[in-house]
Amino acid sequence: MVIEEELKGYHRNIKDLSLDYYGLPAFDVVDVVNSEEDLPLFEWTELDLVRDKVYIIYICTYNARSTQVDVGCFVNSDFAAANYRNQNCKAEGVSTIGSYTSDPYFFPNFPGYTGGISQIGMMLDPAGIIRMNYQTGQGTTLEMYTGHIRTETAAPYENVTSIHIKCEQGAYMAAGTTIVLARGIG
Amino acid sequence: MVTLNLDLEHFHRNVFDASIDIHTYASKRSFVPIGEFVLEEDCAGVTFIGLDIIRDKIYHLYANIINASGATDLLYLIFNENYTLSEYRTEKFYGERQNVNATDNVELMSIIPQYGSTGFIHASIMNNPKLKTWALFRAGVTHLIGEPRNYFGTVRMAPDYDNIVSIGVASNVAEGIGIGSRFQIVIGGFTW
Repeated sequence: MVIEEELKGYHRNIKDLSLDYYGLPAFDVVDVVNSEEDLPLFEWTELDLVRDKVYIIYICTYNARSTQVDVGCFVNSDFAAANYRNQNCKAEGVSTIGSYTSDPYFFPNFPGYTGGISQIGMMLDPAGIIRMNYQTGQGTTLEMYTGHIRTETAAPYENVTSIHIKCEQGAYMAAGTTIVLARGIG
Repeated sequence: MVTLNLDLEHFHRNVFDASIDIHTYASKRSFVPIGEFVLEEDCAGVTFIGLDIIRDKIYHLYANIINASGATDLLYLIFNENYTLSEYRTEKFYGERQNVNATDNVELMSIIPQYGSTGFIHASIMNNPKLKTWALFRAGVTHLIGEPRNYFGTVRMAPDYDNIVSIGVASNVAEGIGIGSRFQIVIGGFTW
């Protein structure tokens, strides 16, 4: 029976979690940033996503200036926004709207001194595409985003060795910004 | 001014002081549960106290909640035991069959008016440099009998708090958080 054979194959891919995993920490907090000055960029290097499997980033910030400047999540020192694709949905009051852009901006950091919060989960897929899911709440009038960013490069990535949380321009992440980086434990 | 009508004396039985054990976990630098409990009686709210978001940077709250009332159960995230709903702002998506909707109602979610209906919440909570308290949350619930609804949302406090020292969940009805409901709070950003 084909189905039975398929089921046997499927069930070979089982990991019994009852033995060695119980009680281990869920995620390893790699770094906690609490900036003392306005930031244009914050970056981690010497990362290894193949080893760590997943990165989770939390950021809580605000914009102390008078214009909106988006904040993006770049990887592997690739600061060309066109090398990323971004699809999100936004909830605002009683309406929702979708947006597709070629950039890695996950946080439209509005002026108005309110700021917001984001969380990003990052993994490397088998095709060498770096994928990020994000959730962002921000703004004085309050907007809620859920979105997905992927890399769009000619050659696939084999790893993520650096992550760069970067303003579109200028130092628009205000002093006191908190950023947490956690990893899966490889 | 709208304030949740809680039986505070009853409410405060369901308090977990997370400051007691927190330093036990300090050296692990991990997302570690620092407090959890399973309710042994129906109530309208639970609270974790002894927190310090300046020190800890981020908290994660997980909750599985059973509606023990016969009324629609609206659930709210509560900071620093501030039950004045007009001082909270909330924005969220919710999916319901083929439709995606948005609302800025202040509650996280609503559990249907049926005894034994359930829902879950995962919220991540931080303070930004402007002393604004922010949370992101995901929630799932039985909205109609047998039909789920999911939420993605954000909460912001209108008052500026120097610190967040307590985090709780409150219901609009006296038995909105029923016996067997589970709560866990996780710390996620050590700076020691």
